[in-house]
Amino acid sequence: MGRLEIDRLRKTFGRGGDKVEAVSELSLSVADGELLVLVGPSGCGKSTTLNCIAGLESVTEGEVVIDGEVVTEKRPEDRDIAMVFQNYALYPHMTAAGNLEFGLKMTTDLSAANRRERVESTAELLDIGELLDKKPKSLSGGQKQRVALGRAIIRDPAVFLMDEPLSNLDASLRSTMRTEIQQLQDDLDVTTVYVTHDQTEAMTMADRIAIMYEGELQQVGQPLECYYRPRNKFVAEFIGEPAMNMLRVTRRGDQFVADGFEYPVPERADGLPSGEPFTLGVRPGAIDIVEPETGVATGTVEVVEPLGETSHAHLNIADTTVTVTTDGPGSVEEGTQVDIDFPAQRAHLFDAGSGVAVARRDGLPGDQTESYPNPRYD
Amino acid sequence: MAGSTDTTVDGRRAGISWSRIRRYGYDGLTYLVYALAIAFFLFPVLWVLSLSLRTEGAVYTSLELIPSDPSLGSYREVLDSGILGWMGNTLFVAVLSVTGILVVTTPAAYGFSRFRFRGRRTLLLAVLGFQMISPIVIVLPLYEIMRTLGLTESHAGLVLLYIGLQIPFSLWLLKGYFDTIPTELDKAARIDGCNRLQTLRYVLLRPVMPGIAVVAIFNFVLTWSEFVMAYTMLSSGGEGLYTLSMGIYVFDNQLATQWTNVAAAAVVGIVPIIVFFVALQRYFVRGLTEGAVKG
Ligand SMILES: Nc1ncnc2c1ncn2[C@@H]1O[C@H](COP(=O)(O)OP(=O)(O)OP(=O)(O)O)[C@@H](O)[C@H]1O
Ligand SMILES: [Mg+2]
Repeated sequence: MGRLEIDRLRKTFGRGGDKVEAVSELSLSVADGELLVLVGPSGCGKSTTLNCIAGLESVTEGEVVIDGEVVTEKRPEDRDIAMVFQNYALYPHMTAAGNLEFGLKMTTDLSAANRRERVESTAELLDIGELLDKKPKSLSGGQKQRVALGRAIIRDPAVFLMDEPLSNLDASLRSTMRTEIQQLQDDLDVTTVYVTHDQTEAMTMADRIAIMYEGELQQVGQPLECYYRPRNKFVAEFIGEPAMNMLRVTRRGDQFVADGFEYPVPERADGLPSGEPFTLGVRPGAIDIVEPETGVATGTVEVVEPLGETSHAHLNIADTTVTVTTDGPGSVEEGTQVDIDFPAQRAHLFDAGSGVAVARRDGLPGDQTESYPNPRYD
Repeated sequence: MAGSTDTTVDGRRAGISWSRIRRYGYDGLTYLVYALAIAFFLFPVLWVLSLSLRTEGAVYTSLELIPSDPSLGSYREVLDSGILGWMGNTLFVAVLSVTGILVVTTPAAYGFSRFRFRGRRTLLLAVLGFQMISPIVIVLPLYEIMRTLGLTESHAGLVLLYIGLQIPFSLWLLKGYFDTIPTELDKAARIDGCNRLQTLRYVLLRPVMPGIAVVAIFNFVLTWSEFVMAYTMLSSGGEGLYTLSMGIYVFDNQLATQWTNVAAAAVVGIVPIIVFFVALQRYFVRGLTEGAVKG
């Protein structure tokens, strides 16, 4: 069992003039066995949040509750958590076995034989049996990360905390380890908070993702929910690759207009006031190139980046760059004029000032009769 | 990098490329500079060794490095004097000083490296400030203080002085070393159930060992050969209290003309340092060259 709740967590560093609020008013709950991924750009407070959960940092305000028990004032080892770090943080003078065993030695009164048994069964689970007698220095990055995972697993914690565990690995190893961690988490059914700034990891691994920006939680939800129904402009731009196109538009009657652009107001946005500015967002993958004179805007193709199956075309529409994901080579030529269009369901609208999403669509593509292409990652 | 000069694919391998000549040129120059530096530092030592092996008469008459008529006479004479006792004193003082310095500075450096407390910066700078003061400048007031405390003419007093004087430098050096060890190790240790002291004892002490070795060797060499403080604190006591450097000074005075004895005493005094250094040089070199402990 391991239900984790964070209640109005606030954490500030420093005093007076150079005070930094690293986390503000963060509330979250993670269900037993759930894998929650905490994402956000560098410096947004992800690690600080994790450290507060772990008890490595004291909280300024708020509470951390594990399994109904308030642990805010407890020491890390009394919180029934284990943590995996980005740089592995293996004890350099101990063998892999020593690294696994150390926590048991310090926190339990298991006999040496019992500890050895636990070490061996954990090693077997992670397939690191042959590495047990090696020092960290002679292990590869992937092996180190396995040992680090083992050191967390062996404690049999209620909550796993992982701070960018894969970001020191090269791309191919990262994707194998990603699957492995996911499977392991599934098998062990341990509540996990996983920090990353890699949105591929976030989208593919998470049961739910929590997106943070400047210490504040922006949105929590299933990955596709955040992708298709972002709560604000930040989430919309942060999730998805390439980033969502944003256009400054004004509502004029039943059209959203901008220079060289005119889009009929979707039904769900009927209530929005006329004459007001909005930000209209649309993902590159949602845009279609259509027959001349039939689109909502005409643009000049400035650059085409071929990726194989698809290409990214950057269009200039009245001095605004709009990125479109098109079919592979040959579908658009640099320097030509093209018309674009996109379905009303794929248009996102945001308040021009606050960036809060307005008139969000209902439901996700899977719930609808119409079908949309899946988001592309990697 | 190396591949770019050694195994080129552009056909220049056949001839001798300029870059190669330049590289060998630089290498040669490096060795030449090394050789000069080594000769510069080694020559006085060899000369002392040479002097110590001569007969008294050959000191002024011969310029040859290897004496034609070597004699161990001066060693016999030196060893028959009080030198072994003085060496014992020096060893006692040096070992206690180094131990004391490490006992104080290891936890202190850990604290300064890992904790952010009020006044931390000020304290660190104050410590550095003390380092700026040359011991020679304060030797007289120090003597007064030690006399008031009744600690002159005692090895304990000298040890305390050495510890006090060497803490600033050692603390800074060791703190710098702790700073290179990733704090994630501390975090991992705390999650594994260590309190702060256990973190230091079980997790950080080993990675920081090269740094500790540097501090130990540096201070051992320093206290082993230190003269001014020792002379000030101990010279009013009997010869039985003397340290090695004081003893050699006495030799110099009493037997002013006996250069071979002074040289032999110097050689006897150097040997333990060399032994100590060779024993720990693995750590010393690692401590100076290797920065952080990675993963
Ligand atoms: N010990 C500290 N003292 C002062 N400020 C800190 C401290 N730790 C973190 N901060 C500040 O708090 C903010 C959040 O930092 P944090 O490390 O949580 O970010 P992060 O989201 O983990 O970023 P990254 O992706 O780069 O790891 C940053 O502005 C950082 O400068
Ligand atoms: Mg971080």
